[in-house]
Amino acid sequence: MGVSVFEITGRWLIRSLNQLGEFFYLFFQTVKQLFRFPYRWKDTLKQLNFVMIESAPIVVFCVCAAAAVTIVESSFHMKIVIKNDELVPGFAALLILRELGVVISALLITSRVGAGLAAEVGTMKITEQIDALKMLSMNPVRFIVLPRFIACVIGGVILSFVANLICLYVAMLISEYKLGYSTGSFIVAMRSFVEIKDLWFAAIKGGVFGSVIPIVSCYYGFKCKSGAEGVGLATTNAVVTSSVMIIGLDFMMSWLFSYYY
Amino acid sequence: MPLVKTKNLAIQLDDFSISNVSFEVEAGESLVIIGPSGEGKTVLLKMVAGLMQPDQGQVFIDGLDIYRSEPKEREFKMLQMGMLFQKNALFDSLTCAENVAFPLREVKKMKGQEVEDLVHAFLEAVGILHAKQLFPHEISGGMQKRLGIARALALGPKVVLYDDPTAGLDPITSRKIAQLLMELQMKNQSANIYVTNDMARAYQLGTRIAMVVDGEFILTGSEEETRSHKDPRVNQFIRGAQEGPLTQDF
Repeated sequence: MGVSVFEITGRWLIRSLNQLGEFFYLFFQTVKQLFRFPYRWKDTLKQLNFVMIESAPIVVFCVCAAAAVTIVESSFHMKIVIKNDELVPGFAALLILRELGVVISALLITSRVGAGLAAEVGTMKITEQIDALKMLSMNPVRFIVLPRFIACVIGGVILSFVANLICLYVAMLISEYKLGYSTGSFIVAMRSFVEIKDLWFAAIKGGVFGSVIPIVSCYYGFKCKSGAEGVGLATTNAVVTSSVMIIGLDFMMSWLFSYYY
Repeated sequence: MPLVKTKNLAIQLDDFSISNVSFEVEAGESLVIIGPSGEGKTVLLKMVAGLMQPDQGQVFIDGLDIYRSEPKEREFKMLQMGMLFQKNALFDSLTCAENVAFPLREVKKMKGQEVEDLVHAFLEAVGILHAKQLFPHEISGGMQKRLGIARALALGPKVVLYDDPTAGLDPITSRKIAQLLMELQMKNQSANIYVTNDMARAYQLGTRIAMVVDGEFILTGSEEETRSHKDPRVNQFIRGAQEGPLTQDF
């Protein structure tokens, strides 16, 4: 007898909800450890270097490219539709600050840092290093997850801030050289569309996305099955799930923040 | 009072189950667990180590039921145990010296010269002092085992669990490692539990031998008692015979 669509959907739903519950459990375990001192600062700074400093060049490069494409494409289409592209700088600034800068940064951190974390923790799991920590009565959440969590949250906020500023600067340059709008007119157009709170909301999004990446990645690392295939699967699942959660959370936060405009 | 006591331990996993595991190990005594691969020897060791909760039964370490005790008490007893893992479980981002120093610094909160001196002593005892600044991936399998032993013993445990301590080693290194383990046990008077499939080492290391097969735990006794055991599965395993009850399904 075949399995019905309802049955398949039901099973998928139950499995997903169960997994979501486990993510939340790991998240709360990690947050609980935030209130226990002292922190492992040396590990945290090492992770911060990995998450923020080492990710910065790729994030900057990609947001610059995204800003350039946004300006050029918007101008092209606006000229076709309304025969005028004077709204492009304002719209582009709005789009960059509210979505582009922070989401692209988060997705890049996911693919770079999240994949690395899942592979690292997964390898620790299958080589029994996590069991070795437990034998020493050391909490793996405190030892492994917490430094990465702190680093990703701080890194997420700072990188999103930096990405937004660089993205706006590049948009301004492209507007000037490609569309012929001066720096002054770009700033005037931008100020009529965006507010300072857009920058703060972007920073909040950066922090939230930053918190998702280590939790999801470490979760899949802890669940990693033995062998190269197991590590590969953990890495893939971590990147896919983090990306989907970031996009979902982006939608929810954008909706929520819309009440504050 | 035995340092390790298990009472009716049982666990059901996807691939196998083990039930009714009861044994005791006194200070200075060694129990060697043998048995075909995939029958749950490592799982049994992890249940004793407090790393894998059994479905039923109890594990007492120095009189404390570790699965039914307060977290603080359990933590204290866990620190009286050391374990050499099958894959050594060395921290690959730390050098050999740092691997041994890790439990001293993190658990005993020792610092400076005191740690240096102890690390020196442990690495010297296991014969890898010359490799102290190397990383685990830069040393041979035998040296990794020795490093794992040094780390397992760093906190001076009363109970030491060795998961396949001579796996993948040549016979000479294997014999040397076994000799080292016996000397260290003699010195520390610890209760040791070994898991191995190497019968030569099992006879060399074990005061008593037990076998895990078909979900059963069979205490076969001393070397002589094991050699003359009536159970055909034990007999086939220790002789390494191709024909017998263990290979009926092949």
